[in-house]
Amino acid sequence: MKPKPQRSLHRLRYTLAGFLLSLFLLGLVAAPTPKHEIFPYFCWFLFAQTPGTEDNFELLITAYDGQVLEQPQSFMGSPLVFNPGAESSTNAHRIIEALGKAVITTNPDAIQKHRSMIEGNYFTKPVSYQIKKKGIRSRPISPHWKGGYLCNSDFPLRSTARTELLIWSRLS
Amino acid sequence: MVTTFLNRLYRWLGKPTARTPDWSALTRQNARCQMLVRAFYAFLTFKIMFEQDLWLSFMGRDSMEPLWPVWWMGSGSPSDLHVQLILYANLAAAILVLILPQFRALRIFCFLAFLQYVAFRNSFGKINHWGHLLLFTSFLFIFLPSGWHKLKPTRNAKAATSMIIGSCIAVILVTYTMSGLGKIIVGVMQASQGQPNSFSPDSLARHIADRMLETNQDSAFGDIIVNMPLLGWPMMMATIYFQLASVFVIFRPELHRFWGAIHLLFHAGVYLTMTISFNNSVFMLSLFLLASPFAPDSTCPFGTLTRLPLIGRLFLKIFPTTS
Repeated sequence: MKPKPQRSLHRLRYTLAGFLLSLFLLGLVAAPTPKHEIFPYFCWFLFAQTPGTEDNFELLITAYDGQVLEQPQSFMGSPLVFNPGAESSTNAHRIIEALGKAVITTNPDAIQKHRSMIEGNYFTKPVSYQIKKKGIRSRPISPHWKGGYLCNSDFPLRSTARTELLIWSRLS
Repeated sequence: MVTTFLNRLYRWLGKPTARTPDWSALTRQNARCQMLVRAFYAFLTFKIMFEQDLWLSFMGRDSMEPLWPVWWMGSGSPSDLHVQLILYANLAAAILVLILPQFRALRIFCFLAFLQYVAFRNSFGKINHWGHLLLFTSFLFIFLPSGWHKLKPTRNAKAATSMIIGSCIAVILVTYTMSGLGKIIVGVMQASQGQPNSFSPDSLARHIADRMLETNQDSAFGDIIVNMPLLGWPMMMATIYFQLASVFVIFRPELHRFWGAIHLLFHAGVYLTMTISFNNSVFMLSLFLLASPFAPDSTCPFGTLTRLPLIGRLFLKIFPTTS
C-alpha cells in the first residue's frame, strides 16, 4: 500500500531536518578530533584560531636529483614540486606544518609519516630540503625567520627510529 | 510535541508569516527548482571533466591513508586500476545523471561515485573541503520525488522539491553559521588565555600575515591590512556577524539574494587579501542564494534591512514605514 501523500511529505520533512541537525551536531562533535572532521562531517571552524607567536614552518628545497641548487627554493611555487595543483596549497602546508612539529617534538613515527607524504606525493626524484621555522612578530605584525632543520631524502624512509632522528640536524 | 517545538523554532528563526504560496507562485517556484537541479548536475560534470588533467597525478600518488568510503583501496600506494575505477565511475555517473536526472538510481549512483572521489582525494594526509557542499547537495537530490521533473508535477511533488532545494540552501547557510560559531568559541577560549583572538583589532592582519608566511606570496590588499591592522577589524567583525547569523536566513527568503551577494563579496575579499579561492562555494552561493527560487521577484532595500537577523529591529526604528 502506498503511503498517503501528506504522510510522505511529513516523513521527508523530518528526514531533512534530521540530516541538517546531524550536519550541525556531528560537526561540533568532530571539532576536537585531530582532523576536525568525522568524514564527511566537518566542524567548519575555518580561521577560528587567530595566529599568535607560535611556530610556522616552511620547506626549502636545497638539492634535487643529486644537484645542489644555487638558491634554495621554497616548496610553495617551486617548479620542482610535482603537480602541486592536485590539492590545495593549504593541504601541502598542513603536512609541512605537521612535519615541522614532529621534528620539534622528536616524534619519529610522525616524522616518517609526514616525510613519506611529502616525498611520495610531491616529488618524483630524491630531494634534500630544510624545514625552517618562521613566526609572526606582533609589533609591527611581520613575518620573520627563526632557524630550521635539514632533511635529506636520500636516506631510506624505512629506517629505524634512531636512524631517522639522525637525519635531522639543527640549523643555527 | 515535536511539531510544536519545530514551529516555535521556525518562528524564532524568522519563518515568514505568509502561508503556503498560491498555485501560480508554487508553479513558478517549482520551475526554478527544476532548473537548479539541472544546473547543479551540469556544474558537477563540468567540475569533474575540468579536473581530468589531474588524473595522471592521482595515479602517481603515494602514502594513502584511506578514509572510510575508500577503505577497500588499502593503505600505501593505491593501485592504478582502483584509481581509474573511481575516476571513470565518477565521470560516467555525472554525465548520466546530467542527461537523465529523473532517475533516482542514477542520482544515487552519482552520489556514491562522488563520495568515493572526494574520499579518495582526501586520503593523503589532510582533508580539503572543496567538495563537501557538492557532496551534501548530491545526497539531498536523491530524495527528489518521482515526477519532480515533469511540466505539471503534482502539488505534493512540488512541495517535496521545494523542501529539498530549501534544504540545500540550509546546508550552505549552516556551514557558514558553524564557521562564525567557531570564531566565537575559539575566540573566547583564546581571549580567556590572554592570546590574540577573533575579536582583537589585529586579528585579520594576523591571519593575512600567517597566510603570507604559508605561501610566500603577496596578495592585492594583504600588505595594506598587515601594515594598518585596524582597517581589518570592522571587516572581521562583519564577517563574524554575517557568518553566525546565516542560519536565520534559511527562513527569510527575502534575504537570500542579499546574503548570497554579501558572502560573494566576502569570498572576493578573502582572495584579494589571502589568495584563497573558494570556487565551489561561490558557485553554490550563486546558484542557491542569488538565484534562489524562494526569493521574491522584487524587494524594497530598506525593507530587506529590517529583516536582517539580530539587528533588523534597529532598522525598523529608523525606517518604521517599511515593515
